[in-house]
Amino acid sequence: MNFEDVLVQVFQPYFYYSIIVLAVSFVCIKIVLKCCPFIGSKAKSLIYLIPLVAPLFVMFSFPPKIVMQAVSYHLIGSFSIPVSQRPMLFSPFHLIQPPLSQTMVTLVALSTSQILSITGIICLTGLALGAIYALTTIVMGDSIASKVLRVINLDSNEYGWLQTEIANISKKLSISTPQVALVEDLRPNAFTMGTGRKTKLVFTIGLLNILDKEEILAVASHELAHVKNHDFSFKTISNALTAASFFNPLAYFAFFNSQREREMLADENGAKLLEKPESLANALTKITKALQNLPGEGRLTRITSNLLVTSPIIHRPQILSGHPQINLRLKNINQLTTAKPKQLKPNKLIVAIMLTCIIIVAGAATTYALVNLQSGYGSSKIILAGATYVKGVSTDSIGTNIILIDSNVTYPMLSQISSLQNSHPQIISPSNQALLNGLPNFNQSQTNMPNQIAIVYASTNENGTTLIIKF
Amino acid sequence: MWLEAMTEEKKPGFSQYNLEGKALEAFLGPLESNIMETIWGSKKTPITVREIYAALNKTKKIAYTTVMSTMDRLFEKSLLERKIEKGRGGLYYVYWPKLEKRNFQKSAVREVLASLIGNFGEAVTSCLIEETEMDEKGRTALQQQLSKINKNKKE
Repeated sequence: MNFEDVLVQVFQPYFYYSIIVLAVSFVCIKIVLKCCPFIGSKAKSLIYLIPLVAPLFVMFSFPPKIVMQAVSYHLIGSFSIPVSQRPMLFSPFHLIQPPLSQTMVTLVALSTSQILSITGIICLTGLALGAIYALTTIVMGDSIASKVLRVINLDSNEYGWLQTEIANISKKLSISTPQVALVEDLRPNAFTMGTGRKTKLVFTIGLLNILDKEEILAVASHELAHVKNHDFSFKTISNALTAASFFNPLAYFAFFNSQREREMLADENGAKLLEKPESLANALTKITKALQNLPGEGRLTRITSNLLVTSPIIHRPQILSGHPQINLRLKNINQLTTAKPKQLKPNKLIVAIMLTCIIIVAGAATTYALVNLQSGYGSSKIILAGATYVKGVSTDSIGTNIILIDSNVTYPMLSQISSLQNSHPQIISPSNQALLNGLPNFNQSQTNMPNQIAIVYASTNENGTTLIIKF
Repeated sequence: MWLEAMTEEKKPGFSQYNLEGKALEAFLGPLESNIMETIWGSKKTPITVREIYAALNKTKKIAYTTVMSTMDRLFEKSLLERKIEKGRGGLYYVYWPKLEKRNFQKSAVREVLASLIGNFGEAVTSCLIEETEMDEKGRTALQQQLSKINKNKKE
């Protein structure tokens, strides 16, 4: 695959529009949110989904295709014409170079063919992955996670005090009381899984061993806040949207930012349910310390946890983690009781709006430039004697395609190509049919070629040979 | 009726003797002996709490935390050994018996006898002889054991 092929693939609108839209919206949102501290975690988590939703609209407007049309150019032949005949021949064309005394004309055959659109396949794969993931998680996500993580449901008499407290908090939150369950894991953690009546609140043995009752209750409140906030559904949707743009690294950043805000929200809502909000901070500190001395979870557990389980109380520090850093969380919890409400700073907001505008304009300009570039590459696959001579392609104002080929391409070379490829060309003349009939080596009567034929004007200067092809 | 063992030093085996208990239940609680029997009978060693819980639940419904705390107690009593293992589902304890079943029984009986002899001396040996006199097989075994001890002493 040569460079032109790669460009043709990349410049499919469903692919590059979705990448640009996601990137621009993510950067803009990041800047605006940074400058607007008064926006709450819930709103932030929803705003971070915008960059993930935007590519879906792009793909809806420009549906991805598995195959795309490619146009092949075959040199058929070339010849020189005297200056006196030139105006007649060139009259319908838009000339970009001053005609030379002896002008070379080349005939090119165009043929269209269907080729696989790799970017289209990538986009469709993303959409399929997102849909399959969402469906699987909603239908049987909890049962898969239960099996993989080996979740054990508690009887009603086990950890009776905890089950009673969980029932009380659930009543306060107006949610149905989740099933309380355990996993054998000695690493301290807790998580929720499933939705509605199938919701489970799972504690690891490690967590129950290291925390006191108040702290366990604080963790339970955090997890119940996740249930109240419908974070299982939120995470399922976010994961599905990320899967749809899996080829774009920024999608993961948007996803993790959104998940971090949900964690902060659960911390806030969970701590508000407690008599002593600092219990949650204590629990988080203890868990973090304990985890530092224990090995990490296995890959299968991590994947299951990320995909099918909503928000474990804590994650190991990772570059791309849905959990904010522990210090940020502790600060956030402490602010519930101590900090003043965050206020809007006009200066920051103005800077944010200006930056956003600049980024949007830059994004639009990039898109426009790419669209123009795409008009040169996007609809055609250039094969000009192996394409090695092609230096550039563009389209002028009247739709004439101009191919700039290497100046090393000489008339004898083109003739050689023509002698190899020329069979029975059909000449479609835009102007003077009589003249074309009289051209050397080519005659309309000889034509029998099924492909579309174009007539080409060529002029040579220090930049190379310019071929003008009329479709 | 439960008799507390007199020895203060914690030894592998047991710390109580139940006169009414059958087989291992003489030394251990019903669930403890059930768990020990399951572990000895299991082909998989070491074994997790979850696996014992699954095995026990086949015959009688039992809570996971009950099995977990019982196995923890058996570890405290030095009947089981354990280590942390990393595997599917995370980090967890795996348990295995400190003694084979036969050795455990011998060790337990020896401890009871040592305790009885220590407390009641001759009464124990005469009771033992009286008890074995009623049983032909036991008497033969006792005679053989005595002659072996005498022989060893002469040498």
